[in-house]
Amino acid sequence: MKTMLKLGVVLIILLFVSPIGDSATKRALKTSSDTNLVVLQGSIVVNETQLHLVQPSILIPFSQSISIPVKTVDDFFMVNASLRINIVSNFAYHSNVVRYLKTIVIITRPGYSLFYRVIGRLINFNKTNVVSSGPLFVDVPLRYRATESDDALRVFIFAFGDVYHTHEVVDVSCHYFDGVDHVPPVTTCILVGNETVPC
Amino acid sequence: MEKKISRKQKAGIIATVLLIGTLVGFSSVSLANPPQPPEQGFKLFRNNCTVSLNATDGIGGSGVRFTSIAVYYKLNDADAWTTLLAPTNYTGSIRYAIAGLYQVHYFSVDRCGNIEVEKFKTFRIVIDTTPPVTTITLTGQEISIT
Repeated sequence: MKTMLKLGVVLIILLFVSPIGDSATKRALKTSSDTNLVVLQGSIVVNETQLHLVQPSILIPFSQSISIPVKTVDDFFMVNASLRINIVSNFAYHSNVVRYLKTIVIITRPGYSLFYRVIGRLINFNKTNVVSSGPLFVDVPLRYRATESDDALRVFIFAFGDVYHTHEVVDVSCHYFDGVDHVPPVTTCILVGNETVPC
Repeated sequence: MEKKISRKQKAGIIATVLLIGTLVGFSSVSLANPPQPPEQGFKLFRNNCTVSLNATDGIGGSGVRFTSIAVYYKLNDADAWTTLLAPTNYTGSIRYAIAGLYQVHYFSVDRCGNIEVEKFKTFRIVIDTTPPVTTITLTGQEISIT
């Protein structure tokens, strides 16, 4: 009886206190397949994720999360989130004006709780009265020193915004870079002088 | 009385030595390729040429730790290459003003230890010592004065 009781307590503890890494990973994978997640040399690109803002003055959050495996522990690890927000209108007769746009990037790592611990900084990107019809580029470098206990980081990106006119469609595509430097630098040689031709 | 070093102190000393060794070795990654045959279409410069290197590590890069440069030289095509500048860390532009063929070898290393594949560029400096010749042409109806 005592053993059964102990086992029950352990099971309850495991149920409530165990990390949610597995379920989170599954969610991330599902997100990946839904949005054509492509991993290219340390960069993760999510293409053509659409956010439809059809009502003005209402915050409609867009969030996307990715899981970044941490393989190296060094001083230079960083997460570099680079967002390209492409705003396109299906209504030519309306001018596209984004009244405001706010982006928040949160880096978390799995913790032994029901919630991921927020370890990154909140980055706010505010744009007001952005006359759009083209891409907006937002670079939010988040420098973070990975520790030995990090096995994966998750980046949550939220974009809030609205449009000035009704019945307009806003498409949002986001590009994420994990920022781990796998690429060597590029050196160019510049020769300056009075260039001539063979005599 | 001999002072004994504790295990922790020993580990610290070893770690420091290893760190210094790594840093020293890392900052002296040397150019490996010998001078190469000049590439097609290398540039010619009259009287002098200034060589500058510019290294970038791209978006999300850890930053350039150092750029290595070596310069080889020969007066005539038939001559053998001589080392004008032994492999060293690039610190600033270099101006050359002696006639001959030059080959610059270079590469960079970033802070994460990614090493760029070594590249080279060839150029020739020609010293033009021959003054130009100007001719004058007079046209018109030539008459003779008596």
